[in-house]
Amino acid sequence: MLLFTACKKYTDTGLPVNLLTDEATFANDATAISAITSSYSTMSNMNIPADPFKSIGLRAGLSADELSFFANYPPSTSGYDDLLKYYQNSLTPVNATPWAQSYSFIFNANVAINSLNQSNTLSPRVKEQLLGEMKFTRAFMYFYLVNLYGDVPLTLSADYTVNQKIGRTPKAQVYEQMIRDLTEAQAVLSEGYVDGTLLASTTERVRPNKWAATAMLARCYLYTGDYAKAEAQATTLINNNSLYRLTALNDAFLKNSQETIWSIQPVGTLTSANTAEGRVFTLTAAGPNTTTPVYLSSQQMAAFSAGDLRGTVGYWVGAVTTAGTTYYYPTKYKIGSTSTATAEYSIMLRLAEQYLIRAEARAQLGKGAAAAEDLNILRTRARATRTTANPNPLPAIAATLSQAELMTAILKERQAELFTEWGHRWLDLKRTGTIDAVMSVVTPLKVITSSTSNNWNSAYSLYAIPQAEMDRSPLLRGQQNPGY
Amino acid sequence: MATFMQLSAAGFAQKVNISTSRAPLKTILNRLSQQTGYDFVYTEQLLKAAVPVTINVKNTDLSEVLEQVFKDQPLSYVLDAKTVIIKAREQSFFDRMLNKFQQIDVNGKVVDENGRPIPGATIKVKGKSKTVISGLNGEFSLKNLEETDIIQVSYLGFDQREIKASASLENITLKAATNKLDEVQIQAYGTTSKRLSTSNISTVKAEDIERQPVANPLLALMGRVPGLQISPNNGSPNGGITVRVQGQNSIASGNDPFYVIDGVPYPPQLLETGLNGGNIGVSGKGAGNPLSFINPADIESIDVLKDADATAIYGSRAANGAILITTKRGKAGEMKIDFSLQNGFSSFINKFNKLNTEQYLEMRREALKNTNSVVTEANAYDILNLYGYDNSRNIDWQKEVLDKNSLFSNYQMSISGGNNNTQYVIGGGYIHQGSFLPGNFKNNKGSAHFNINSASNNRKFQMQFGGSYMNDINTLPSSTIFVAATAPSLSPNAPALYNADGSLNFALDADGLSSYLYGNNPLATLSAININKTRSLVAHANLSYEIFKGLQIKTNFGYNELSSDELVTTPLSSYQPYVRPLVSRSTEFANNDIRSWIIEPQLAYRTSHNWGELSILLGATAQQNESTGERLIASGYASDDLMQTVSGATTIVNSGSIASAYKYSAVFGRATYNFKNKYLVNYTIRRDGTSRFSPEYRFHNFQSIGAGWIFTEESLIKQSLPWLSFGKLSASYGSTGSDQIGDNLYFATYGSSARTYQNIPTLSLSRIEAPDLHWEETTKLNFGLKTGFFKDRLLFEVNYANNRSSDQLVSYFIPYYASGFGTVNSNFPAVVRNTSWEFTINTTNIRSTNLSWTSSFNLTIPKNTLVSFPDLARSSYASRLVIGEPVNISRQFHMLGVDPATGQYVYADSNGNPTMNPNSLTDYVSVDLSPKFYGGFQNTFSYKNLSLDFLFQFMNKKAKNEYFTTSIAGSLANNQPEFVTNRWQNPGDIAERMLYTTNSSVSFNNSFLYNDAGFTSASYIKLRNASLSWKIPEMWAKKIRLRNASVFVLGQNLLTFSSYYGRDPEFTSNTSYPASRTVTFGARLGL
Repeated sequence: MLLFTACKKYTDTGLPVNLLTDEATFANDATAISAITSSYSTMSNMNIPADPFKSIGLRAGLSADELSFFANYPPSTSGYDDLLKYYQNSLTPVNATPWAQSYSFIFNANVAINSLNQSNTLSPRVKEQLLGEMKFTRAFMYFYLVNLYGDVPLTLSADYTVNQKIGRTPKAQVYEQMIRDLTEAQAVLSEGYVDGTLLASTTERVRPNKWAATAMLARCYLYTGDYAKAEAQATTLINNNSLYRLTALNDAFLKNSQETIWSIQPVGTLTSANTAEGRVFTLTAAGPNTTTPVYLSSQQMAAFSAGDLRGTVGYWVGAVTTAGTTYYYPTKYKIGSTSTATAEYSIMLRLAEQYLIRAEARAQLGKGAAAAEDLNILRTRARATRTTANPNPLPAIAATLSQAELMTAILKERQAELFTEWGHRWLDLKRTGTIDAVMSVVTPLKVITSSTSNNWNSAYSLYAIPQAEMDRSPLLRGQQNPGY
Repeated sequence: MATFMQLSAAGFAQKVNISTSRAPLKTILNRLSQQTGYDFVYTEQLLKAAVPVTINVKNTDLSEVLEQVFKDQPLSYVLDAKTVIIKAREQSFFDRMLNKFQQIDVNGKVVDENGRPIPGATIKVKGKSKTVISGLNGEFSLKNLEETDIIQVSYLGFDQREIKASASLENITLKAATNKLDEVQIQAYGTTSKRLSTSNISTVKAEDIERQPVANPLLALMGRVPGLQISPNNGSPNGGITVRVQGQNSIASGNDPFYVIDGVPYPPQLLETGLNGGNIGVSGKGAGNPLSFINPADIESIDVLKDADATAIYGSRAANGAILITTKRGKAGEMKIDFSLQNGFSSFINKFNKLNTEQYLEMRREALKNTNSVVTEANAYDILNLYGYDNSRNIDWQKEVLDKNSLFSNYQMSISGGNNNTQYVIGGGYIHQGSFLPGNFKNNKGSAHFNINSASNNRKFQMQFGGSYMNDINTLPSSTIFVAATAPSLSPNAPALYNADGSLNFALDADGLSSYLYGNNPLATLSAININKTRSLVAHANLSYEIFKGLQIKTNFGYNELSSDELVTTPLSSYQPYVRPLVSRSTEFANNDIRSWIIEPQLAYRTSHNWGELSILLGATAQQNESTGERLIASGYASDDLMQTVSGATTIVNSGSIASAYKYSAVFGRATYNFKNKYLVNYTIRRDGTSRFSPEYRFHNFQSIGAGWIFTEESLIKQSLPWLSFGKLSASYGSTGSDQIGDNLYFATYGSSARTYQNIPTLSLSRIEAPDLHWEETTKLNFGLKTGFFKDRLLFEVNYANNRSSDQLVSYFIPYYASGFGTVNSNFPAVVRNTSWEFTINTTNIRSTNLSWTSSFNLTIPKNTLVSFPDLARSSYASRLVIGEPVNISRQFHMLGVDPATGQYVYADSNGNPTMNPNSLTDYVSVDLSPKFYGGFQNTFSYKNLSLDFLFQFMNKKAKNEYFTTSIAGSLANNQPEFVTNRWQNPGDIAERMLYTTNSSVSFNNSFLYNDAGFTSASYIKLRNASLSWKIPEMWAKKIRLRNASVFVLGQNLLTFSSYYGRDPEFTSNTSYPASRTVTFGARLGL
């Protein structure tokens, strides 16, 4: 008996020296902050195009009419077959998708929120800020999940056995939760930007604050048709002009620009210096290739009106000509190399979108003139100098447009302003019901050398839920999105 | 006890007066002796049969009285002068009488061939129940034997000897076993033999290991042990090896056996490095095999423990069997110096036929035509002779890139000797393996080994101390997989890999990109440097003291350390020129360390009586493992030449750490009972505790019972079946466990994520809690029959095992939306059954003075079945497993063939109807990938000084074939296996392969990748090993002052017979490091 007691004691190894239990992690400020901050460093470390979550912008851009795909990509090269499926709107449930990564952030947030609520040893301010950040992050992830997949399981527990019992939740209910999370976050998050202690302020706009929550709220209200609230949220943000202002086009994507509401500092392994977006989009003289396999589509280039600097080489697009073909590529981020000093951060939310949200909300609310005014603020910034060849570059939107005309103008403005950022175009096409009209023309054109063409099927506006996930959850059995 | 009684009295009358009623015979005889002075001689034993006597005589003659007394007795008597001898009635009394007077006391000493005493030998009087055990000095004594008695002396590992009893018996020398039944088998905490064991244990001896030019001792076991499946994952030195004892017990968790080297547990897997240097073809954990760091030449024997009887005493660690390695020990005698030197070559075997230029161009042109493509520079540079492609070339790239002989050298030396009290052996070795890749890649092993045994003069105190150390340096490149996979797929007209000036050619296209397959010269990646240094130390000490006769207290101490330092550089020169400005140089560093120690105090008692022989062992184990590791990625080097240290880097990032501890404790016991070498019973019990589970589930009991009946010891069988020299039936049943899930998995943790953000370190959730984790339990049932015919010249053994594993430790898939991790560690009530029929036949076909021929054949018929899996259809394993089928199946679409109309593959849907787009949820068939049977056939011939040995190994199984890994035939600059020529060309064609096409978007549904045609027979027969050696006649050897000398030729992987569609049926992947054939020449010299 004595021997057994001795054995019992002996087999207690305690914790390994490189790990902390979740309770210990949330027992003090420093480790709790470290645990929450890992969400941002993880977002930063994700590679485009290899990682599906970080490359939502790339994938959704390919799915829509924004990006074209490198014609001579090597067959069966890992990762590129996958991108080709997004490009040709011929996804299958085996394609890599942002699903798993998004839920990883969500579960992480669930655990953190649960642990934060249970901990009573943290400084009150730190605890509030962290709770706000995690609720914000959870909402941010759910936003893309519902918009890419439709109804998705709404899991809020830190206990996987509870979450496991949840099936697909109606989209509206997910939005309700997002709005609840964002409202709560908005109430507790810092007004300004805070550093790694969460107590001192900083110019680094790399943690979500109250205004990031506001920006996402405005977006969620817009998407759910709650236009008055969308307008109100966007307005409070736009009015905070001590913190946020539109900058010159070529300054907008510099790190901590005045336009930035929330950005991610690049800290990835070996790719730490600048953004993954810059790396994947910036073409070299050789044109598109396996490392930089995409370029701007002719439809996207056609969306820029004459005299729109956003579509002008030297501003937000670049051009290379190789073998007689000119390829245009996004140059919002201008640094494609990893070894240059950090000058750009990946922007998650920026001010220009808030003008577009407000314009659309106002148009829907019948405030046409005010809507046009918002659009014209963006157009003014993007307007080229008047020349004899183009005496009226990027003309202002008339205050007299009908609501339908105004909606068309807003959609086009969004296309010109937000291209290749977080899949805005793909989401806009879907929520405005214009996707079938646009894609039934564009999809058949998406042919590359070694592939056949494909026709648009409106079912493809929702991505397929990953097969692995269908296999893992009995509750999803038979619940795949139609068409897959 | 048979003691002789003699009642004596002197000078009395012959007349007797006696009156008794129902008196014992003995009382009567006493009175008679007193009255008459006659001596009465009898044994107590005899009198037991006597009936009580009623007699009433007065003054009667003794002879008359005796007549009356013995009238109803089962005894008779002899009256001789003044003595009355009483004996059993039937026997002729003269003989018996003589015997009674010729009792002798026998004293002897049991020794081995070197004159060293053998303590613990069993000395039996044949046909009687007298048994003793020799003492520490090998001495024994037996009293009151008869001169005609035969003494049987037996000891484990020695041939049994029979000798006539004699008072002047001196040393009885036992010879090391030549009969396989008596060879020593190492078991847990002790030894046994095939004759006396109730377990299923197989043994491979040094002589078989030494004959094979291999650098990992596990490879020497292939085809030699029934029930043991050794599958190298690839052909690289130090490469990974999958080892399964009696099949796969666990669906998802560890299936590795428990390795024990001289009593010290040895890790079954290397720690994860994230780097694949030198261990190509397997990524992540388990890349490489730790047994590569044990020198095969140091090994005396390897014992494979399979059933519960043999393994339950290892408790939770041995559910998957145990492999015990025993290193060589010194022998008493003069100092001996032995050298073994061999040198030879390894060469690349099993090339796979690829298209020649003519066939290749035909394929490409037809593919372009089939896709209605206009031939352009971009889609047909290989046909248009651009960028250095040249249609007049016809290169076999496998030959060009991989076909190089590589050196194999193995030098070993040992010094041994000692006296009766102390023996030692010290050895050193060096093994060099090259590579057939272009460049100077190698794997070098330097090792040292020693063992010292010593005993006090009275032999009560004994100690044994030994250690093995190896230092391995492996510089094989981590990019071999790329080279091995890409090179054979280069088109036969592809440009030369080197320019005229010796620099690498990148065959740049108009845009400055490399036009080689996958955009790089396959040799460029070889400029990356990999250096993997591994050190392995195994040290042990055993101390024992005999407290009193039969009772020994002993303790084993063991220490093991396995550490590695590895670096892999990615220099700019490994990229194609275009990429170089876009990337930075980086080097990954990984160092790992596994340290473990073990202490096992034990009490052993052994006693022998008329009622049999009993051995009892009680012990306890305390074991501790610590694993640590660090991985760094350093980047920003200024030059390709400065990349082997971190000092030249501008950025250093931690990319992972390992820190885990494992503690394990147990108490155990074993009782072995042997009745007259006829009935054997063995019982073991162990109570185990492991730190891998939460306190509630930490402890568990495991036990087993085994029994054996040597029926040839029954006299009836012995007499009626004289040709049956040995026969034993045995059975065992018991439970063992597995805790192979990794350390500290039962609680949720945060770990450092190695990245800082806003200048603060970050911690990420590393796992979710799994508090209910507990043992995976395997119950094992084994039946065995061992028989020897014609004086054991033919030995036949069969074992049937039925093992059931329940409470499966699985990394159970849960939806990502539930936890983000996608998996959770848990015990699942699924049951896996492994049955195994194991047959072994050993024969001595010819045994004469000059010529001998022995054969050995073994065959295993395994069967693995998923017996139950609650709610499988709704579980995450629904698409992977089927109840009633093996765990190791692959679920695939069923291909019907090529559609004669379109030239594309057609599949069967769940109703068997043809479809082009099978449903990925329903239209599956199972392909069984577990072996149907496997085994080996070995023959050894020796004629005078010449001996020849060879081993054929065979396996019957299905596996992924070359089809599986083949992409669509017809794509740019990508050569194909020759079989693609049997393709569809025109509507109506009945063809085996689909049409040539450049359209890769059909790849999902039209490759063999996801259907059963990608799996075909991978059965093979291999001439695994052959050796020919010639012993130089002693006369000659003496002249050059050698004790002995021999020269030999060894060959490994000499021939393969298989109908497999692919490079090597053994590895079933054409992208892994290929197998090689090794032939060496060498000599063994003894000084």
